Amino acid sequence: MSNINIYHQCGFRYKWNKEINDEFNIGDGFILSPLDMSKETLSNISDEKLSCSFFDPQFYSLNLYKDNYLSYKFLDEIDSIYDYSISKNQISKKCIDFQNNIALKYLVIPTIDFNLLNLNESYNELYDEIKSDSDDSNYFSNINIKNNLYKKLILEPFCNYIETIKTNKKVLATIIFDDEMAKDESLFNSYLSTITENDIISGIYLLPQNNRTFKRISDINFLTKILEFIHILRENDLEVIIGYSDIESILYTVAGATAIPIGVYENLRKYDGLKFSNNDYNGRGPNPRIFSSKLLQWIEYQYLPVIKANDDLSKFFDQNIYFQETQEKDYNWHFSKPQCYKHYMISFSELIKKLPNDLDERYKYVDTLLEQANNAFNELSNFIFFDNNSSGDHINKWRTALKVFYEKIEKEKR
Amino acid sequence: MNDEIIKEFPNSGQKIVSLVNNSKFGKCIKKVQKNMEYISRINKEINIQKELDCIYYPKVFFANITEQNCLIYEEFIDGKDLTNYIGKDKIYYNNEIACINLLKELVIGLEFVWSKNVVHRDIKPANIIIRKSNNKPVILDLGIAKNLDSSTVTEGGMWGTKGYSSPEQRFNNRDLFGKRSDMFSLGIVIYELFFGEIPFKNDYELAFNSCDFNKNDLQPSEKFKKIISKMLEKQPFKRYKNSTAILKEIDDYLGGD
Repeated sequence: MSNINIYHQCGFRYKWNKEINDEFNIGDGFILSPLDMSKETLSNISDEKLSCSFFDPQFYSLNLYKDNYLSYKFLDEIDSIYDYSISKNQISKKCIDFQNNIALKYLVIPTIDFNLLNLNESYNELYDEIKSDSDDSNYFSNINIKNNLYKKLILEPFCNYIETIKTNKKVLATIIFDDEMAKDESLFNSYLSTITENDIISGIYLLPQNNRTFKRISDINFLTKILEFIHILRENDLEVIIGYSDIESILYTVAGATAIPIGVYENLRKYDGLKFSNNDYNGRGPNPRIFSSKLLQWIEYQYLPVIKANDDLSKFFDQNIYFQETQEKDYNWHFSKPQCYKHYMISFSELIKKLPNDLDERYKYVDTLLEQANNAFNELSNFIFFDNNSSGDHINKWRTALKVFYEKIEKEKR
Repeated sequence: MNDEIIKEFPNSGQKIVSLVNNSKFGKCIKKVQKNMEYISRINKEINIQKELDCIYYPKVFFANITEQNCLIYEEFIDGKDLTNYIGKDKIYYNNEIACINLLKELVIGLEFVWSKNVVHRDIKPANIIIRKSNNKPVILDLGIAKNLDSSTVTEGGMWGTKGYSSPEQRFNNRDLFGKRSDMFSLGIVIYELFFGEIPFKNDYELAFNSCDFNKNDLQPSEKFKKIISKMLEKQPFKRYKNSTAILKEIDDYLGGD
């Protein structure tokens, strides 16, 4: 059984996560979401559950005014990053005290999603202000602004406060790994340098954010760079807990990610900052899909009768109780029904728990899974033309990204 | 306070350093410098040095730093700096154990300031004296010395000395600068003591070459090469994360031999 932890990425319908944890012992803990859980509701969670869970403070947009979130009072009267900048020390204190005073496993330093901010002239004004406030502006660069804002607005106030309190809890820092970081080596290096130099932080809560047309990430450069990022974090003895991620997580484990998430709806399996802003978030329901551990893809339900007519469904889908429920005669497929998600949580967790602990063996194991997925898609192509969101187009890109990453690491070892 | 000058050292920029016999502190080093910049950082570093009760740094007896003027009296260290220990006939040449033991002392010494989020910025043989009385290294020039001294400022304005500066200092990558920049310079110093010369002769080599561990036909052990090459990684995040990590490796080395 692998030593990779699996956390339930809680959100709307987190009761399904709780049920699957209670009934089937799936998941090692919970990533608690203040957007979906008021302070009062959270206070009813047992210490036993809290002690293997952590809390995501969700500062991403700084303007989340929904009732559940407001009950925590972290960002009261904060309308902009200016307000935040002025109050950052008090905000850090409130946020850390809250987490430290309950039985949570980690203290989480949040992040701001700088992509959600309007990078206009006033933003540069703020940057100049922060720079002049630094006791050594000579060592403050004008490039990699995001990383510098991250250092000054997030890491400094939070770490300074954590240093003053007595706590045995490990500290996670949240980082969004986005397309810019994958493409811009200077930004990539500066984030790594900042985070690995800090002795207060013992782990990273890492959120992959890749803009894409289809549901699976299939950007080889993005995947290779995030794998390299995870590998370097691990080389620096940092835990890496992936958040808001779908089945791509299996790739991140090859680089040594220590924990991966399982989430119910798609918006919990993909990071999107807009979900945490006050704007109306487009939560339009997708077509129902069901996860195949053999194909390493979510397959739209309409294909299942075709597979059944030509082949054996059990070759492609784990036969747990929830899958069987979807096969009952009168089952009415709908994205809001729990069966697909519960099936996924069990099936994907079992897949992850089977991964070898040795990273060389894990690479070979995952590569073999991908090869088998490719073969399975080839078999199915005799009678199915999959749409882009159910197809296996991502498989060879995943294999390539893993190979590029693995060979780079092997070369470095030599 | 009255001073009797015993010896004046060569001027360096606007800095005047002399060995004096002071009426209050006795035999000590006096440093005078004009037109100060970065006052808050320098004051922070001097205050840290004043508070350090540590054999690895000279004691600061007195410091008065303003924008116009700086006056410091600090302990005189009787001994020779490491430039006197470089070469084939010296104790550290081709002597892993001596080099690693010195490295251990210097890492422990630097941890005193690293733990206070201070980076020395100019680790080099001339800034490390071996104290005559106990053969322990003493690290000089924390804080004040780097200001306005043109020989230690790179083109981009970051402090450091060519040949010893990390790539991030030399190429002005401010976002990457930190404690591990000192670790790189320390790796250079140890390499130079062992091989008799620095590993990277120019900026091109610093940027692109990896270390030659067969220089002068010497054959250091794999463990020694591993420690030095990790300290000399081009990217700071590939070096040792902190003093704990490197000390663990050093202790493994010393315990295993």
